[in-house]
Amino acid sequence: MSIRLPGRNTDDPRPSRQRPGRSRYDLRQRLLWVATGLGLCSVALIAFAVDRQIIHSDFYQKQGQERFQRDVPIATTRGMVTDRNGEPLAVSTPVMSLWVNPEEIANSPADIARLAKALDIPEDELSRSISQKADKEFLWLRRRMNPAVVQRILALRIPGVYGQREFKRFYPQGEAIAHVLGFTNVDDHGQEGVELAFDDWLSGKPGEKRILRDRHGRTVENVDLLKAAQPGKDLALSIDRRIQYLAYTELQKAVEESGASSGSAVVLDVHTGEVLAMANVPSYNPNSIAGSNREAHRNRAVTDLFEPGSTMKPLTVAAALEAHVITPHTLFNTSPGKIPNGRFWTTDTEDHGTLDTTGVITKSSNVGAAMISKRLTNDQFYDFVKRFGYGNSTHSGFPGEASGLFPPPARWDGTSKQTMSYGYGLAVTPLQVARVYAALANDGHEVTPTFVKEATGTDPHAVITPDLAHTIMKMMQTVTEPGGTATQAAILGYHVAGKTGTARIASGGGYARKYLAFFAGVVPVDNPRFSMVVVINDPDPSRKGYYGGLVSAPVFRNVMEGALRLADVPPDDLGTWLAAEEKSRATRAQGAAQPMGAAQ
Amino acid sequence: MTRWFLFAMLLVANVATGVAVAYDRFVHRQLFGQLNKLEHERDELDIHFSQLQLEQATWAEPTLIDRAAREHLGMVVPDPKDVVVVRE
Repeated sequence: MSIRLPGRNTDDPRPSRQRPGRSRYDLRQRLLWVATGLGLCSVALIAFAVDRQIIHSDFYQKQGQERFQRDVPIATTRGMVTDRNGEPLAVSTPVMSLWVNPEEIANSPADIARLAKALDIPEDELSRSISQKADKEFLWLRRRMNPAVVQRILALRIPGVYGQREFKRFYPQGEAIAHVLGFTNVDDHGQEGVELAFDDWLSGKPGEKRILRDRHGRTVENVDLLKAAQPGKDLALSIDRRIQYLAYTELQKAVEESGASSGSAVVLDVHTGEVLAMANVPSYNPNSIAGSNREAHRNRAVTDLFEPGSTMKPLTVAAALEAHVITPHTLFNTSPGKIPNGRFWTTDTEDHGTLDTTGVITKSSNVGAAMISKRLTNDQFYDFVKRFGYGNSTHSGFPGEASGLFPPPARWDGTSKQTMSYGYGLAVTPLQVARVYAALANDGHEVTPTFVKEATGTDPHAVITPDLAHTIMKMMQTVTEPGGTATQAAILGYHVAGKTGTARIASGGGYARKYLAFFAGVVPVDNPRFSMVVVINDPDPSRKGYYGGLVSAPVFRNVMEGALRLADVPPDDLGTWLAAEEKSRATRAQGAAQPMGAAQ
Repeated sequence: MTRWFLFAMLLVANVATGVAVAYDRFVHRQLFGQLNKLEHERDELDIHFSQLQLEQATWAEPTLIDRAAREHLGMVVPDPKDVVVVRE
């Protein structure tokens, strides 16, 4: 429609004549209409603006923010676990995980094919799992990959495929210390061992920040820090990596050589209760837990119960000495090597004849221990042993720690005390035994075992007098000297106090022809530093035998020899050392003299 | 007169604070961006450090050292008989 100018109409009146029904228009009125229309439009615009900007501004702002503004977590790392000298035992290292947005890739088979090729998995398998989640926005492709590999895949620029940094725990010591450390799950939470016990301490608190993102999810701007991330704290364990390694390899060797099914070893610092080493065989590789035997994950040194066998005898003797029912020189006639115990017999391996109190320990006479226990009341015996913590958790804080079985006298039958006097009828963990021997070495002061370096709250408390503790130590020293049951535990240059134990393994209501080979010892006697327990479970009697003195004592000697050297412990037995030196010089001289003699 | 003066003062103050707020926000964003960058850098360095420590720990693995000492360098633990006790 064209606008007719008024001038034209006056020049040429024809059109108006041709259309007589049409009135002459009013310019003013038309302009008014246009203005009104435009005015209404502006009013509407203002009204809408008011609606958007003022009345519903919250709604729209929220919508906008939902599209572009995100509160994203700030990842933190898990703290490092080190040994007592700061050597790393568990470290978090970054790995990359790949994820895909199924919505973006589902309709593009070519991209799926490229992705499958890059990941080296069958194409139909990948497209099936993607189509199953086609309506979702997130699907892990593979987690915890080598970052370099992920970078290569991301460089292909397949739409919908993204990388996410995650952290994986790495344990450089591998299986040697696997049981103490435990491991974490795929979400970096501790599952066992120290990783579980100190999960709160080690795991950081992720922070939160507000960012603006564009349509492709790329961060455009960091807007604000909502919560600062708190990285996990490091943890120094009481473990000494070198002693730990020594304990593990020696134990593994002994278990292998003796054909045993399992074994455990614990080394404690006698003064502080710090666990310097704790090893178990069989072990597992904590760096690849999937597929490993669940049985091997158990930290047997704290979770498994054993009858302590003859390692109990020093306690029996100490109880009787404290009750003044015997003296170190009391004589016991153990002939003929057996003594009735209810319907059964308490027997010795051979007839030891007449023994004094020390001799009962030296020769590990069951009959002697039984005779000593007869002089004690049930309560005297029970209360004394209970003081050393048998039947109670050591409160080391290790997850799944067993407290052992030590029933009170009310539940004993006529033979219980006698049976317990040489270590049957009660059950303890290797850690509990190590703690008892540490207390005997620490002037009768008992400490709480701990896995943390220089931990507080392990305050030693006296359970027996220092004099009694020294007496027992001197008796146990004879065990590793000529004539004792554990000469193989002797270390040249040091006095070693210890006790062997060989216990039949209870099974199905009776005792099977299966044995536990125990050795518990303390070194050096004159200024004790270490208490160590070795338990070897079910050694094959046809190989090295099954006696604690043959199977477990050598492990003790080898580990302690190394530990004394590592800790620079001065020898307390220079006499035998000098004698040995003299002897070797003599034989060397002899060896040098002989060829000369032959020549003459 | 004083009323006008007060009004002018308030107006100026109003505009000034408005500008100050805008400027502050600008500075905040810049600083926050810088903080993010530095934190990122710190995290990368931390990660690198942990990787190096791990590498060091792997090389210092007792089995490796044991083997290197015994097989490569031909070292042995001295027999106690070969140790001479020196007394002061």
